[in-house]
Amino acid sequence: MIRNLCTWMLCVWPMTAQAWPQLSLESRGELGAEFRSFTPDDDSSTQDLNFAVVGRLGIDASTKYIEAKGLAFFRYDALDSERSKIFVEDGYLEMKRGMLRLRAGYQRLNWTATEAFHPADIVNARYWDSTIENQEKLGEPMLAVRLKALGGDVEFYYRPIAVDPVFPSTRSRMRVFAPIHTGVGADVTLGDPVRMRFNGDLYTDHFAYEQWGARIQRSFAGADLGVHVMQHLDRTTPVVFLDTTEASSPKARMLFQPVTVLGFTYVQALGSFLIKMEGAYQWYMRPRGGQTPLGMVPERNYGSVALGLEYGFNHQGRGTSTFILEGQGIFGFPKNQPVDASIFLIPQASRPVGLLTPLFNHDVMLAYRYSFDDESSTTVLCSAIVDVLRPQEFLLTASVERRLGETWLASTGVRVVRIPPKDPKAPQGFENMNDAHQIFVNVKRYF
Amino acid sequence: MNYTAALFLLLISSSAQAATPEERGLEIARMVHKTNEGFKGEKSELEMILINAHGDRTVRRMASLIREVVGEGDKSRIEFQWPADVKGTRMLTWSHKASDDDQWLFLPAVKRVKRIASRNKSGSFMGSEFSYEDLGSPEIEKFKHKFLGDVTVNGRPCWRLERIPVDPTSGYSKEVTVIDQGMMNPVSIEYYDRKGDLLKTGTFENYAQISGYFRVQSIRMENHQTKKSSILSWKSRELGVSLDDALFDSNELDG
Repeated sequence: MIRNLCTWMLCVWPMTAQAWPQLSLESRGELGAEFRSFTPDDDSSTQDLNFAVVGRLGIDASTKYIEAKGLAFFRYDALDSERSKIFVEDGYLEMKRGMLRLRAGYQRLNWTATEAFHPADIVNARYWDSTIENQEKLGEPMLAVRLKALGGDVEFYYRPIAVDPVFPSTRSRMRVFAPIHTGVGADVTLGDPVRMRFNGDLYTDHFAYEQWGARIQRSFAGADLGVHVMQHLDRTTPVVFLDTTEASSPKARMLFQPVTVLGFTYVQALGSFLIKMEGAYQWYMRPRGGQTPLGMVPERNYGSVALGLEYGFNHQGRGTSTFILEGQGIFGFPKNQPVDASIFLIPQASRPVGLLTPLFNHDVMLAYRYSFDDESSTTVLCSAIVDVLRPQEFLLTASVERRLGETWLASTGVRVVRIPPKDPKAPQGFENMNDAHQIFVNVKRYF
Repeated sequence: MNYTAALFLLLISSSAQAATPEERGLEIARMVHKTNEGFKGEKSELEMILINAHGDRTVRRMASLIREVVGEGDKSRIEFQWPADVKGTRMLTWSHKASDDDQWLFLPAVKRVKRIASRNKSGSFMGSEFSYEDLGSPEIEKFKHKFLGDVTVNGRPCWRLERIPVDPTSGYSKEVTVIDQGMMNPVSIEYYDRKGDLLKTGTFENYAQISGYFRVQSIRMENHQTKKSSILSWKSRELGVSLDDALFDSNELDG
């Protein structure tokens, strides 16, 4: 039934003449260059310099009855071809009739209240080789039906396809996996991800995956509240297995596991302050006994909550200052799985298992933004994210952004990343980013 | 003389007899508000020219929708169209008479609707000499009014009023406004900074009668301290437009 409705919306309806009276078209886009340089790591297998051409092209079409939006993104890296990607961010048809709104096609959903930690923002797969606290999102096909109810907006989602995230290549300094030199045979490299159905079966050969969810949003008394429930394929915190099916080329394989998520976002304006909260609890589906052909899937139901406080004020004359304080904590994580676990592969074991946990778990962020409020929209941003349990782990950022003329935008900055490996000889997961300090310069032309 | 004109004169004469300058100022403010209400909905295209101290000009463009709310502050939605990097950014404001306004920003690049603190309204609007509070809905309750006297501007009788923002976070200590008695709309507003010094002067030019309402077609804002100026002009303006309430729903900003 729903598949038929999707097919009708995507294929049949747009081809009818009545769908396109009074057609208006609008295009927009950007084209730019990104340069980043990392501090050398004395590892010839990694790429310390990146130079990429990036672009975004969007087309909006609307008629009396229907709207269509399309937005695609590409990045071509001249120095690291594995970083070059093209993907759809949005590409959907929309119909509104009274209190009802239907959207069908690729969409990005943004369910977040905070600026750096996003435990409630769970829907879209990410392009990991981007700003790690605000990764770029890949659009995902879905049918979304929204109606006015319960004093707010209620939206139902059906997602027939689960799009895989784009992980950094093993050449990238932003990588979360580095080839493991076993010393006793072939190196372990990163293989294709594996998907688990709700019944525990594993497969790799197609992307079809039925996912469901709903979200209600209300605004009241200076506040916005959103609550959602989603049953889908988790692609942000995969379980990692060593697949030795082919002994000559052992692979580390990420297992995407089905999960049911209950989450919320809340923002309250109080004078010059904004109080922000968001959180989610995740119940992971496991096969009976937790056993899969690749190995045992651990129990790991857990919740995470982020809190934030934003305070801004205008300076006499010109300029606006904004201070942001945020923190995130994880609770309910199984005691036998350390919270700071990342990929912890032990090649000597027969079928070892690891987890790629959220990068931020017990962290705080303090940020300061100064907007000059000038005609060039010059903005300076400084932020520090520190792990409160392991203060030696931190991410520092300083950047400045400025419009050049009326169509160009330039930004430059520096990022300092410290995630010291617990075992310096075998960095795991995000520890691979340790000391990947970088300077970056981005220039974009909008049209 | 018809009945409406007689009532109007009666109102003016009764205001002239108000006991104190504060009472008379409040009465005029109410008359101005009363004259300008009832437009239901407004749809307009605007252009803003920013002129720096050297005379260099940059352009901003936006589209605005305003929905009148009876008994409360109006709802407005502005979509930025130029410069290109902010194209598609939308700002939704629900003005309130007594409490802080509700305000949201839609950021198209990340497809995020973000609530923002409306208290910081003295900041510059798009880098211009206009601040957010200059362009907000001037609810009577947000000011203390005082009548300063009768003046003549370009041969037309006007009232001179002082209004002091009630909100202590306003960027101004006071505003002095000159109101054309015939059009019941301002012809100029002087803005004084928190130190009491003259900061800016807004000059309202080219009034046109649209659907029975006098509406300004251009406002020139001159900053006396920085020597910069901005000109906000309306390229098109319709009043009495019926606007769907969904346009002013924060959850619909991404549509």
